[in-house]
Amino acid sequence: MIELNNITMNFAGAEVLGGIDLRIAEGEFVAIVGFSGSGKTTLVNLIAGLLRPTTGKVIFRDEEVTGTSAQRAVVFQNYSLLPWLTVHGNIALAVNQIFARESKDEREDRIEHYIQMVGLSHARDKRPAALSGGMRQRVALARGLSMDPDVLLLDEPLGALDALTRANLQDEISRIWQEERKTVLMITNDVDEALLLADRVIPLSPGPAAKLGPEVVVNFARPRDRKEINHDPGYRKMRVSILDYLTNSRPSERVKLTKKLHLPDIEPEDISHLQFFEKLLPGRGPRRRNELKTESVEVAS
Amino acid sequence: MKWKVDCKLGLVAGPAKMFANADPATMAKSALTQIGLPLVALAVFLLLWSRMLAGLDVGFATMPGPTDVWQAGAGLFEDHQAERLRASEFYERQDERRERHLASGNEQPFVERKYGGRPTYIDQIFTSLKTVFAGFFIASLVAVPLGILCGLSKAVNTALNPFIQIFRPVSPLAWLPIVMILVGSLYNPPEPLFEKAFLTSAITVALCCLWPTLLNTAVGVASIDNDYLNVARVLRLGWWSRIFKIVLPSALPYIFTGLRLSLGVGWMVLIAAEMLAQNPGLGKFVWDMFQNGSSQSLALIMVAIFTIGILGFTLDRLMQVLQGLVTFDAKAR
Repeated sequence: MIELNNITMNFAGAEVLGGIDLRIAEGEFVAIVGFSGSGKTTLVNLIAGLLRPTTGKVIFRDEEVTGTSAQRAVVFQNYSLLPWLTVHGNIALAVNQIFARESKDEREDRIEHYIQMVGLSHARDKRPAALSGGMRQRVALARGLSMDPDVLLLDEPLGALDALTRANLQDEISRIWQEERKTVLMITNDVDEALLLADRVIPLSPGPAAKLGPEVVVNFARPRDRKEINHDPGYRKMRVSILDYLTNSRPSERVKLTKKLHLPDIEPEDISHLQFFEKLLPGRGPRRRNELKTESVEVAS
Repeated sequence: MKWKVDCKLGLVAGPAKMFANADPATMAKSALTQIGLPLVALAVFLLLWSRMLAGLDVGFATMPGPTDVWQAGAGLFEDHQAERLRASEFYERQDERRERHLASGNEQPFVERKYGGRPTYIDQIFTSLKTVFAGFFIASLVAVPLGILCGLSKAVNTALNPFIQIFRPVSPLAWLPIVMILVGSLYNPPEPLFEKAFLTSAITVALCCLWPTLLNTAVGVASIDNDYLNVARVLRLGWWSRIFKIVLPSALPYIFTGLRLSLGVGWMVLIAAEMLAQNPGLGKFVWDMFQNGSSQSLALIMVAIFTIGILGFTLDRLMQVLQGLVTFDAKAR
């Protein structure tokens, strides 16, 4: 359903993504695991259509993605709830826009349905400021689901939550996914979370020029029990293989020294690059080394 | 929640803070400082005024002391009540005359007259308030949409920026002659809804209090969180719903800050504009008192100064309340 063909993405000359190939089938739950700063959010924004790749194509249902679409809902990393709207208002914003043709009652039913699904009926008239982090994330999730999208893109949905709330919401996402059976692409930095929820887990090597690593197919039966899969012998193997890929693909860290070196006080002149004007204008001779502030030299470790 | 709103009212913020403390000893102490210190300062102020300034000979009169000013203020209020009485008596007499006229069966229609007394000080205050709100309203009507455009589009902002920068520091006194001439030559309806002086002052006020709202709106719109725009893009909101559902609400705190500053500027400008345009408000009152130069006029001007100050303060607090009501916690999303 989604196809990424050799996607690269450059920001201001820096290569963030270096050749990503990915295929996601209908109804699949795919998790991408990576360190923070490795370009995961960029990947989500590319699929959502918020960004265009530098090279390569994102294909959604046989058509190239050139902009956003209501069929690809995004749950943003920082919730992105509108602080002046209540829980109900935030979800209504999405429902009223996407189901504008439906009657008012039908839309109201939808809104209530999703508020109930994430268990926030008691807080429907509260504003985000009055909600805890976990509750805000539930609202964001409900807003994404209420669009009834073909694909739900979850960008580190649980990254900012404490461990207990996180576990809670993982179970909830797992339950909701089983009810709705939407295609989900989840980005996370938590290998256990990925293994608990997803059908396939793919590691993303740290940037620059991040690449996807070998995928791990998770074939535990659903519904999954956190404790049960923890004791499964295959579980540890999967976990180790993903973590190994992530740590080993880190770029070798070079030691960089910055210090003043004691060298003759005259910079060598590059005669081959003498500019035309410099030949005409006498005066500026070779540069003196003490005019330089610092020099840096790289030493390979 | 109610408590929060009360605190936001600002007017009661000082006293409200005292009662937030449960401990009676701390409460009494903070009550003493919250109310006591300003009272002490007021006493010192009145003392210095009456000792050093009052009674100073300035040629045609002496500088008024606090009691003179208080008496002048009371006198103005009495004048107002007396004038009101005369007005109501006038209308009573007119009603009687009308009845007699109708009873007599006279063919000619009865001519109603308005009471032609001079405006009292209280009337002048209301004229000033009306003028400043008219000018403020005109300015907001122009500044908010223009500010939104500036904030949304770099091109519009770049195009308008020189004008904003050049016209912003211009004093109302410079605008006034042009406004006066334009109003004088263009506004000549057979049955004028507004007086020319009123219109001139209001437009001058508008020209001067346009800028804070315009700049703040532009900044508020331009600094909208990119996340909100991403939400709008994912939902594929149209241009208008993006403006009304995302951009405007998120810029509202900025816009209200601008409006508050604008109203402050407008109130200050108004007095000068009224002086020159002869709009029957507080500014004209001060000017007339200055011109007639009676022994009481200095005290009356002092009354006007205190009135202007207190009203300006009240207007600012009013705007602060409105501002508090639209402000949301931007960190919580």
